[in-house]
Amino acid sequence: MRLSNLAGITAVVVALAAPQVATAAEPFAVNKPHTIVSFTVDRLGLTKVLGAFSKVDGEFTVDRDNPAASSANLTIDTASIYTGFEARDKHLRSPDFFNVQEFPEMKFVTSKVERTGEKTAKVTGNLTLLGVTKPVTLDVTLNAIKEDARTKKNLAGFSARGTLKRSDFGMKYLVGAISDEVTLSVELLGDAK
Amino acid sequence: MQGLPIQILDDPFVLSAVLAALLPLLAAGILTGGIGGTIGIRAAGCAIALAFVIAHLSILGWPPLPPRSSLQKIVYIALIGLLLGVVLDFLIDRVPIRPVALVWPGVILAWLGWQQLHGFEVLDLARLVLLWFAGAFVFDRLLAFRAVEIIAPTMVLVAGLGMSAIAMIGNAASLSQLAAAVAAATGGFLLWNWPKQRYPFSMIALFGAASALFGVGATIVLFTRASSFALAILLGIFAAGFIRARLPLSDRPVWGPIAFGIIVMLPMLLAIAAAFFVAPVSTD
Repeated sequence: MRLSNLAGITAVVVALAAPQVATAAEPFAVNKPHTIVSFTVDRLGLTKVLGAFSKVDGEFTVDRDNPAASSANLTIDTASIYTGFEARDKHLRSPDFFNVQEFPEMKFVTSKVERTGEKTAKVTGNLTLLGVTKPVTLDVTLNAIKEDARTKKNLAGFSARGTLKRSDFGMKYLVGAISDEVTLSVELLGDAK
Repeated sequence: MQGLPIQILDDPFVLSAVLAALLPLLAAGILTGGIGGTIGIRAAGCAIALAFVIAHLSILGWPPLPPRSSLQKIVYIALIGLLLGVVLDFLIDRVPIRPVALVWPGVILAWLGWQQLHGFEVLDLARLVLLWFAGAFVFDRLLAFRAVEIIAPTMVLVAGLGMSAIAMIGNAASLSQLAAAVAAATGGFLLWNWPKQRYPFSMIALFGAASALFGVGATIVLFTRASSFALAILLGIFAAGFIRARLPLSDRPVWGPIAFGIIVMLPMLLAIAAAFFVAPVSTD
């Protein structure tokens, strides 16, 4: 979700690695088939439940000269959640958890990018879930920016990891039996516009 | 078997139901003893809404103000319904209650479902209007029979049980628990009235309990995949008082309660069966 920030990180990395090609903010569109937001939660202290959202959309910009000015705006279709077990997916879509009929979307908008390494950064953004907006910070790694041989346009790939407390967003049902802390994992691919 | 009672109390479903059932017993006794007199007896009715609110908090925690989601709004709907009941209990001989009972479900729906009207889709609007009619019918029937023995709270109890089962079948566990909490809270209140009626189903009791019940029911219809058809069948419960009054056995000491029990339970059982058979089959 801090993919946008990832974009910012990408911008930083690109600026350092290839200053000769530095440009103004470069816009990317989320490549939907190759982007996924996944999560794990602890259940009863016994196992981790793995899940993901299959529908992620949005765009981000990468400013290679001024990475902090990079931005991202991602939207996740909450009804696209799946965990590999249909009955559990239905429950997760209910008002007990993601309440998808009342809150069909989750949004992430970047607010800050702090470089932490050659290809890494901490990306902070505002996550809106269940009508509550809170800052979330992700550790983002730029995997690569490469030219697509077919389209001759750049592709930007990022991985992001982070955690959040679901109760911060009002998702308090069965906190305890199902952990409050949720581990996030994002794999983001962007197509240069 | 060692430690089994503790394991049972760890279960949030059992805990909320037990809490919701026990609290009205305590609250009604404390309110009556503390306040005393007629006002104390009427105030005992708040026990239902208070027990529901505490059960809600035990299930979902304290909601923010202003609340964001319908689930969070339900606790405030119960509290506002309770306050409305307090006001109406004091004004009972001075203001007509029926118009309030007609408007109040509409206010609840407007708060819960206004987002549904963003696109002004005819189906969404029709659904809200039908829900409003259903809510007005429930409040009206409870008002009509609130002074007739324990008919009104019994209808709330049975409706709460049916709603709980339908929500559970529809994968809405917390709403199922909240509906069970309404039933348990009303059941706790009814225990004080057994074998002899001690507390009337005052406006406080009626508006507190019915607001919680309608808030939960409307949220199930608007925001879950639980069967609305099954919930519509549940409305038959609120016709039980009317039907009972027209039965030849209604004034018999044994057969009267038995007949009422059958009339009030039948829609609940039909509704649960409908929810079960209409529910989509899981492919897993």
